[in-house]
Amino acid sequence: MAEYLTLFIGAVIVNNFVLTKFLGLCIFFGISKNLSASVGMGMAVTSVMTMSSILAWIVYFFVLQPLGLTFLTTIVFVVLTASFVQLLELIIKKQAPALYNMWGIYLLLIATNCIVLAVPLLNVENSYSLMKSIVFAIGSGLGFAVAIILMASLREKLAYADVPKPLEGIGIAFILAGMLSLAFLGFSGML
Amino acid sequence: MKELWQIFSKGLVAENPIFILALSLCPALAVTTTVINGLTMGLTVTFVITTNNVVVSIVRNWVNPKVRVPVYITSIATIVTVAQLVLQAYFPELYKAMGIYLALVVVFAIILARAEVYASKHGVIKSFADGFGMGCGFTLAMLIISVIRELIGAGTILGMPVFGEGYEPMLMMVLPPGAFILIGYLVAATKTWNKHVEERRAQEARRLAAMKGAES
Amino acid sequence: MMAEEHSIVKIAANLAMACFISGVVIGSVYYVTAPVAAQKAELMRQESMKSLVPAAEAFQPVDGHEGWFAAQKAGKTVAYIVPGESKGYGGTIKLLVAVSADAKVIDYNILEHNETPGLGDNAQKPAFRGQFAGKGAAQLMVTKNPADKDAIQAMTGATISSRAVTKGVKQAVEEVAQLTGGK
Repeated sequence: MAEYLTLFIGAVIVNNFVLTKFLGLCIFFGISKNLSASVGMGMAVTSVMTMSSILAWIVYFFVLQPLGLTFLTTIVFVVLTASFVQLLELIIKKQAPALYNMWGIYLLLIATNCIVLAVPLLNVENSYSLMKSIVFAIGSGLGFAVAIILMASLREKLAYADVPKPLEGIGIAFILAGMLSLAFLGFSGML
Repeated sequence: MKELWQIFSKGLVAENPIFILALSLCPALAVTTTVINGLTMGLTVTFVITTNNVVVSIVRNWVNPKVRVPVYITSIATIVTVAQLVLQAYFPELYKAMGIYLALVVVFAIILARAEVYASKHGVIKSFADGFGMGCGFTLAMLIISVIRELIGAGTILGMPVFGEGYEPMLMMVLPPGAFILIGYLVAATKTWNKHVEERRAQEARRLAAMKGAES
Repeated sequence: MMAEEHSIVKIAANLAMACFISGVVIGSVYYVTAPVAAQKAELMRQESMKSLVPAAEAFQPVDGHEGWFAAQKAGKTVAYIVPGESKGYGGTIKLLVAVSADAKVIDYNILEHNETPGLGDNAQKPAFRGQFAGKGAAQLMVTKNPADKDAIQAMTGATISSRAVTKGVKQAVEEVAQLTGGK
């Protein structure tokens, strides 16, 4: 149990995907202008990542590894996650249009995103068990959500600030992310 | 020839993938702690984006528009896997240093974007120039970032000490926050530079117009 | 209806073709690079062991201990190469420790770590690493007192990393002592 807890906390804050590993920056900077969108995105990423991790884990340990095809991991995972997200989008569109209206747009954005691909890759690279993979995926997703929600709250305040002209927009966003990342460094060594 | 140069050179500063388009920033930053890693990443991306542009440009007339994106992604993933295998076999140390970020080149937004926006609409040679220009711009950006980070954060360049014994490295620069803050300022710098160039061009145009007016 | 079916077939053909070509390309590249990669990895392992125990002539796997190698010279085992693991500041530190047959440290090599650059990762540098040579399990502990010449001096600003590395090395030494019966 303690092992899972360490893994989970490590993924959420100590090794935060966005702020210490630079993963998922595209959506991080793109979406974090808006707080409610950030919450939606965080949830969407967490759920998609968990499901695709399970899928990728099964494919890796039951197909690729027994057949000695591990050198195909990258390409298989890319196609797998991308098509899985597309499928998910179709299903949600048909079955739950209300949910689709809320989350549909995010699904498209994360179809080929580094964070959704990175978690399954890290899972098999560290040969985590299925249970550990799931814990790691949920933790990483929540870590992403924490980072993007914090960032969005900061950026909404920033709208009222007087930012130097050249730094406006993405420039100041990066510097803010740097400050956040500095704060998160304080967690390292906690485990 | 001149046209090709224009296609190539726009990727360097005017549309530099990292600083301006803010595309594909993602994992690029993680490996810029040392110059050699930044350079490897830059060259890998240049290889992938150029090859992919050529491939996409060749097959563009045979690919059904409905499956365009999946086919392009397959192509990118194939090229990245090839790059991975080659690095693993011939430069295992660099392969290890790149870690997971090498596989993540597949999802660098810029590669798919260039295939969609440019290579799927232009001929092979032009697409090659476009991809190569974007790749070089990316490499240049990676080089600038990694030189600054390694120099300030470790006091070395390519592992060679620059500042001598007494230099106390500013650790933050090789840690993640340093990368974020540095990029913030670099984005601002490129923005200012491009604005400056634009203003000068506008001035030039005004001057020319005035001269023409005086002649007639 | 006809046209639609036609396009579905075409789409499927397109995708199948793409996958087929990519499979062929990757497969052939793998066919060429795989032996080179394996060779290179083996070479690097040999070299890293050789740099730990320069005097050795050959390295033999040790029965019953996975990952262990016996460094041999003129047919006699002079040292053991033992993989070690320890929890550092930023995660697991993986080491390769060379221990002489009389259970003294020769040298070590850090294979994988996640310590702070510039502080904890100094563990690889001679200033810290050099202290280990010739020490037995009893002397392998970290001190912050510069007067304590027997123990291992902690790295500045990285006590946890220093302790972790020392612990990993000590474990390896103890395991070797157990194997050789402390001779």
